Amino acid sequence: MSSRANISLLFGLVLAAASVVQAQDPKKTQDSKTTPASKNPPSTSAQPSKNTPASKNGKDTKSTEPDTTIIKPSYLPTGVRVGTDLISLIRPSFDDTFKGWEINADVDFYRYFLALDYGHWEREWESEGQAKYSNSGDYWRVGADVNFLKKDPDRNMFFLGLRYARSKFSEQMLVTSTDPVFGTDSDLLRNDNVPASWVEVTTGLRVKIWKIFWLGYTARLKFGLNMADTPEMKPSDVPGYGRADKDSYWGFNYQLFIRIPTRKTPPLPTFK
Amino acid sequence: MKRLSWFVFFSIFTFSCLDQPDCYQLNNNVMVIAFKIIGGGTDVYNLAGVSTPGTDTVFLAGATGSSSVKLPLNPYATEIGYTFDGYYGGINTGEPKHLDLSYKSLVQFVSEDCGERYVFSDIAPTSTDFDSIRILNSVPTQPPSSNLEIYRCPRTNILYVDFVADVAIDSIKFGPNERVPVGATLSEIWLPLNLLADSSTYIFNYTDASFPDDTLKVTYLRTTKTLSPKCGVQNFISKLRYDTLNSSFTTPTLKEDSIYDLPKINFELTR
Repeated sequence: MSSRANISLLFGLVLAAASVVQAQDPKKTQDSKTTPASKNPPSTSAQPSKNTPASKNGKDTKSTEPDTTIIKPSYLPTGVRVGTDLISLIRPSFDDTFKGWEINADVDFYRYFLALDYGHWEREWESEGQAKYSNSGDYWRVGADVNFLKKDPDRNMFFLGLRYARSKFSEQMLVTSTDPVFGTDSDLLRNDNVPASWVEVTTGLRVKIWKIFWLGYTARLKFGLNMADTPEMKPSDVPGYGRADKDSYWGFNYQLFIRIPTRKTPPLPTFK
Repeated sequence: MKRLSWFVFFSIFTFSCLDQPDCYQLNNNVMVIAFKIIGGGTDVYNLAGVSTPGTDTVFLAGATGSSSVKLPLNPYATEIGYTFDGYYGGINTGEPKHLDLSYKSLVQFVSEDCGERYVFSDIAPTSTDFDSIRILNSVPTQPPSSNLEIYRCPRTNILYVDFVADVAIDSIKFGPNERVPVGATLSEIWLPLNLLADSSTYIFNYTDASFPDDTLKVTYLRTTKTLSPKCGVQNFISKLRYDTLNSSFTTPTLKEDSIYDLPKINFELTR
């Protein structure tokens, strides 16, 4: 796929995710008025909690000026979300050329999230006896996400983000090739500890399923692959990125998270 | 809307898996060399063949009128030498020309269906006896496009004579003692001009002894110019004239009064 097609797909995915969120939001807002959780003062902006300046001053929640109460956003993290990519775990059962795992984590700073990923993948391919290729390597990503669901009481996320990613991998290939002019040649080639880096634009959803369990997906448009020179052979597959001959590449994670709270979630901020 | 969203979501998910490469034209092992004339245009090469060590194959055997050639690079090596056997610009010097190149060749696994491919880059000339070489693109492309231009210094002394009717020539004498055997029936001939003088004289001796010899004397203006350090100072000819008093051809027609490379008809002569 070309870069333009990738960007179009990413844009389409963002639209799809946004429309899913939009379709779910009104019901969620309506439900939140009736569920016990939503009656909890910290989760609604119309009814300030006892931690709000209004309640500290002993004012009744039925203040004569409830609309003028402003709750500033708190940028202190409220929890750490740690998860794993389910696709990487399930994929080896139906794709025997792939082995891998990935751990994802993020920390919230109001609607901004610091995201960290660490993963490992291995590939093994054979092309009808002519070439046998394998690679193995680790990768990590660091970046930030911005949540566009500012008013969701459960802090569900529809996000856009950026990542900087690095990988270090080794690969080897046993190849017997035949050229119509220059004949046949066999060789065992190795690249060891090849560093690579790239950039990703991400989008996706995080949805609270039950208590501390969250599900989500992340779609990634990876580009700007930069690799060290490899004198032995040209890298074929970069762990974390994919095919090395692609200027841009798609990635997709379907993730299960556990959210470990570090403090009580403050009420949603309100604005004038 | 919700249903459409899920459709888009799963379509994208499926589409993202379609990353298998196209196996067609994976290698970029064909290099294109274009022949040029310094200060001029496109050159023409008539090849008896191009050979390279490591294979018995002779490339482009008998290719005539080529202004560019496509040659393969050896995927298992990082340098290659080509020997061009033939003649260029219409002149057969009888000496083959050589071109040695260095390059990078790296193998890359593509897919289980396609196998591997060789990726070539960093083409650079290491030695040659051509007059000049210019690298246009050090990476062969797919489809192939010009990578190298081979230049030669222009020849400034070729007089192109066209005979209106074919003539059987036994020999041509030019200069005080130079006689070149021809022994053929010709419709046109290229004659060397004397660049050390402002005129050149040719005496045509015909196969049919009953025909008297004909004389062609041309005068011209010489101008020196340096097109390239490789070529040095060269004489360029203009204001070419047919010397009526000292020539015996009837109805000579001047077509071009300057000398070109590749040659253009200067005179049309009728015996």
